[in-house]
Amino acid sequence: MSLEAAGFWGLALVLLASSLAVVLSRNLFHSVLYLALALVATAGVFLLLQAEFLAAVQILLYAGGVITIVVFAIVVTERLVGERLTQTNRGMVTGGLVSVTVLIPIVIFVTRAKLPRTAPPLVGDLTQAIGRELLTRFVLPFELLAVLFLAALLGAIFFARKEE
Amino acid sequence: MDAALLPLAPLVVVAGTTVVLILLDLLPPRTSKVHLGVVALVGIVATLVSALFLWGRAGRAFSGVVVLDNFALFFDVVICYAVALVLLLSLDYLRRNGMERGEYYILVLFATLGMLLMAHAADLIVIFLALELMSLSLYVLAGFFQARLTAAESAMKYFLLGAFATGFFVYGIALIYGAAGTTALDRVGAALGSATRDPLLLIGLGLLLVGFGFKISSVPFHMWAPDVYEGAPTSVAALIATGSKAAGFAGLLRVLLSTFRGAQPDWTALLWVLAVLTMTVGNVVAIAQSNLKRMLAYSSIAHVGYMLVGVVAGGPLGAGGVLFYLLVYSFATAGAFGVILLLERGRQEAVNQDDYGGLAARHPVLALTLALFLLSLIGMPPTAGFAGKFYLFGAAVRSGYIWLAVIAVLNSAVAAYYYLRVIVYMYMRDQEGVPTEPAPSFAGRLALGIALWGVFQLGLMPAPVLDLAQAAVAPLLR
Amino acid sequence: MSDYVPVLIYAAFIVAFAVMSLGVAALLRPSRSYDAKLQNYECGAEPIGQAWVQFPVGFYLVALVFLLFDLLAVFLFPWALVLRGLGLAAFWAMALFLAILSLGWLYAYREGILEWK
Repeated sequence: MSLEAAGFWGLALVLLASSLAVVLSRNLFHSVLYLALALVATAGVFLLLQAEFLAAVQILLYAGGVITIVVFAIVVTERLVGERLTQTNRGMVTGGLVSVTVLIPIVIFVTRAKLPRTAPPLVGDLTQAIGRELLTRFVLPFELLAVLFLAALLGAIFFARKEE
Repeated sequence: MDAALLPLAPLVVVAGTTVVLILLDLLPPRTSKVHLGVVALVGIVATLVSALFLWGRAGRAFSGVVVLDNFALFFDVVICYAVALVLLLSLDYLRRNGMERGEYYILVLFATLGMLLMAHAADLIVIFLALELMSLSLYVLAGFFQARLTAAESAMKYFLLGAFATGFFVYGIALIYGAAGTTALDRVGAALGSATRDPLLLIGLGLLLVGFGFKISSVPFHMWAPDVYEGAPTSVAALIATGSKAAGFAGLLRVLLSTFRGAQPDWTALLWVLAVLTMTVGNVVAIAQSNLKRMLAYSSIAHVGYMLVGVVAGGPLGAGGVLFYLLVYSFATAGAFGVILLLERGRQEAVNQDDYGGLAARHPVLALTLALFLLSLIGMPPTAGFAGKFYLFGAAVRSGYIWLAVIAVLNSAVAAYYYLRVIVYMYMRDQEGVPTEPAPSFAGRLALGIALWGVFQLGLMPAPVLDLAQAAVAPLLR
Repeated sequence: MSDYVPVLIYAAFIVAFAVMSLGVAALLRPSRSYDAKLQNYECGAEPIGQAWVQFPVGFYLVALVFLLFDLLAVFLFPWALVLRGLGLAAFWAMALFLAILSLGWLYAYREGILEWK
């Protein structure tokens, strides 16, 4: 087994285990920490695909930014503070059934697809390529992203702001 | 205006109005925000005018990620009408509920921008961003009346299930990109044509359909609709039921009819089943509802089923019928929600059937208006609902889907029961409900007037608009 | 991929060092615990009450604004790499991006999020 394959399966194992731990953990705060692990493992997958910039973004934005938000959301929420942060998963069986019914067709179709055995080599600097595409072909989606974030920020502040 | 931006005039106008609103909201006064609503309304009307002005023109912009064609323009018109009605109804409604805040109008315009973009999108990335922009704004709007207990439930449910749907949608886009090596819709279509039935493309399409299914609330992805409609401000429920559904259909039709035309046998079989399930579940469960907002939620699900019949039928008749029906349905649904909204008194919602007992005696005009909207939803001639259903089911028969048309007609008969029940309450029961707002505001009356005009204009003279609808789908079917 | 071998080795050393120090310490140290020893370390001050208290919502709001600048930083990086080649159009594209985001900042400012009451 090549180093790349070993790295991939190792990361896949961590990713799968930590994602399961996010939904199965009884302690909300532990779930958040497992989520952080899952996001970091995703960054590892990006690294394996030679997308260093995306890996950095993943860690900066998700493991750094989003996890911070989630942690703050927990500690500022009145109902979650002061008691033990336990959660029960009543819908575990239903949830499992739904995931299996979604997973099976996806696995069947993806395995039937004719995929190349080896990844085509990347030419040039990926970060530069991202920058170029972002500012030429995808300049409208780039601006839309700012608009989307603005709407999300407005909404989040609207709900979180104290009543005057 | 820059020549490159001219084809995007509707989008530019809405985006510009949104920026103006955000800046205006920063300025005093902080207590009254009616002027923001008026500015938003002016912006929407300008958008509508620009869309009508551009009719017949075609083009692409921003390296082809957005497109201008009659299809997009038709949806611009439907969405602008829906948003304009919602804004007119909101002006007074927000004040009565003590929630007159600038964010409301800003978010409505953000959602509108998302809806319009969805109609104009020619790239999966833009479709995704448009969908998210629309959905995020609507999640917040659904919980806008924070004081109401149901508001949090409504926003939360909508957000969680919507985020779930988004996950499917992004996964679908990723698989399609993996198979086709591009996110541009026309090039995905070309890739589908060369590689015969690439399994990756098919499962990608399947996941996209799940995402769209949530947005248009087709069975089995409809569970959120009744709770969200019930807890959301009535004006927002109207927006979700009309504008966001129209946007969902815009994306769905463009992806199915144009990009994935090569896989038509595959998705037609799937949509046949979805159409039958959607209208049947919607209508049967609607019978059991005594809360009018929940009833309209299930009724809107049933109408999605009728429209899916048109998608299955395909061709200019079927797809054109869907566009026409969307316009018809939007007028009647926005109107019905409008009457419910105007009957609220203070913060007391009058949404139970009992509240409508003897309404005809207390508010003859409002009762008659509501009755006409409901008759249009049933599909009674000479209202627009009849013309809409006639063309939709007729297209199904012509394409050879006789059984589908029969099931749809039977469903319409079942649906008549719960719409007529409300009319019976209004005209044949004694007064037992809560007393209601004495007189609706001018803006509210104007909104109902426009919706009523639409219901009769399209009912008595459907042919011109139907021709436009069929011309609108022509670029997709070429 | 082989570029990362030194990083992997380095990471392995870090983990091994942490595990070994803790493991050896656990084996060698005497285990005599009493109340004062088990207390949370609060710079020598006596800890009062629970660590789980409700924090002011301001923390959350500031974190939101932080995310705004985080997003900005992420996109500035590839932009800076290609700016020279793409010229003014790219500059204005980023200026518009910034302008839209700063509307959010303006709104946050108006809502008094940065005032710490």
